[in-house]
Amino acid sequence: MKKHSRVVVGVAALAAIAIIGAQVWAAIATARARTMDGRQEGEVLIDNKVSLRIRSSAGGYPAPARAEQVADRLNQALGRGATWQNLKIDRVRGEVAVLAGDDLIVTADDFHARANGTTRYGLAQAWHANLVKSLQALPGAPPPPTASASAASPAVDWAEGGKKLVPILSVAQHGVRVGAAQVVGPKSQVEKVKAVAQLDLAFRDRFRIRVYVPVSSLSLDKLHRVQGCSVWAVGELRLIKF
Amino acid sequence: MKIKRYKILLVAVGLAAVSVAAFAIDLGDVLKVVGIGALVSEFREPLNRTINDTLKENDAEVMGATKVVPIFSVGRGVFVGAAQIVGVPEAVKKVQAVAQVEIAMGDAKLQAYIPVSTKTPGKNPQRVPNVGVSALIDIRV
Repeated sequence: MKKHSRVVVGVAALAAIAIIGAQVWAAIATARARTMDGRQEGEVLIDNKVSLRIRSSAGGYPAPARAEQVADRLNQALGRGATWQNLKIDRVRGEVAVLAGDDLIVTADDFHARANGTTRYGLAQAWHANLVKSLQALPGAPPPPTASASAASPAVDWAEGGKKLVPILSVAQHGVRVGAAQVVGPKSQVEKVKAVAQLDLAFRDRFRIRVYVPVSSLSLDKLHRVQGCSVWAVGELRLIKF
Repeated sequence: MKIKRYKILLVAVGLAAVSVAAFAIDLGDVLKVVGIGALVSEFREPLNRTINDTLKENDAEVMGATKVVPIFSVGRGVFVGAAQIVGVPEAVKKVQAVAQVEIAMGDAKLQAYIPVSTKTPGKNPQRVPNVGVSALIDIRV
């Protein structure tokens, strides 16, 4: 009988520890509303410090509700044992988002990207960096990587080390070569570039735009962009000498 | 007397034609400098958005910051268009223009585009590193 009661007490104690533990995690990320220029915004706080600001509604949720949603998702992920090391940028149903493992944390939307003068990927990178920094500062968090380890991180590196001359293929003309381009970027990325895809656009009758996308495949059915590379010279390539 | 008057008239017309032609060239350059600069200033945001939206539609969105700036021809000393630049956000912020220079590379004749931190770069433009060109924009003035 005594043994039985000891087991019950033990189980209860473990349950209490689990509940307290969950509450401790739950307290890590919080959200609050604020008003800026008459507009409702939401702030996501980690350890009582602002990590993200949500300035617009999306998916039917006003900005403060979105901030609460982000905080809830963070707490749930942290409760499942996630750390800053599990944070990553990926696509979720076609949208660029920050995830903790496979769990969605926040979707990078057009409004915030434009407000920050960047792309959705650029915004996701900024939000990812903020969240990583906030979670790294938590007591007991895994230490930040050393300089050599961070150099090997999968984040996009725009530092230039390699150059390559590749053909420019027109997307509108189904892959017809329309010139040559020299691409620059990190050596490992430049090596992947097989061609530059050219997308032609018109804007307000006054602007003709040629968009250059360094790609890893000569097939343009789908553009396989090589990130971190860009064009720095374009021109015509004479293939036959007369 | 009449012949002398005609000669004077002809010379005057010739001089006027020459000055009009010269003015037209200057006016064209002025239009290019003022017109392109003004158009780029006015439309930089919608142009940037249009390009980014197109890339998004094609699943080829760029991971980095982007911005539209005017292109300055180093050889001609005028603005000749605009470019969308892409790269590290801090570096992109510094870029004010793109300098266009012609380079020969074997059989290829290339137009090089150098992102610079001044609006009117000199003959030897200093490149802002870690930024490249994502799109070239021709402008009808």
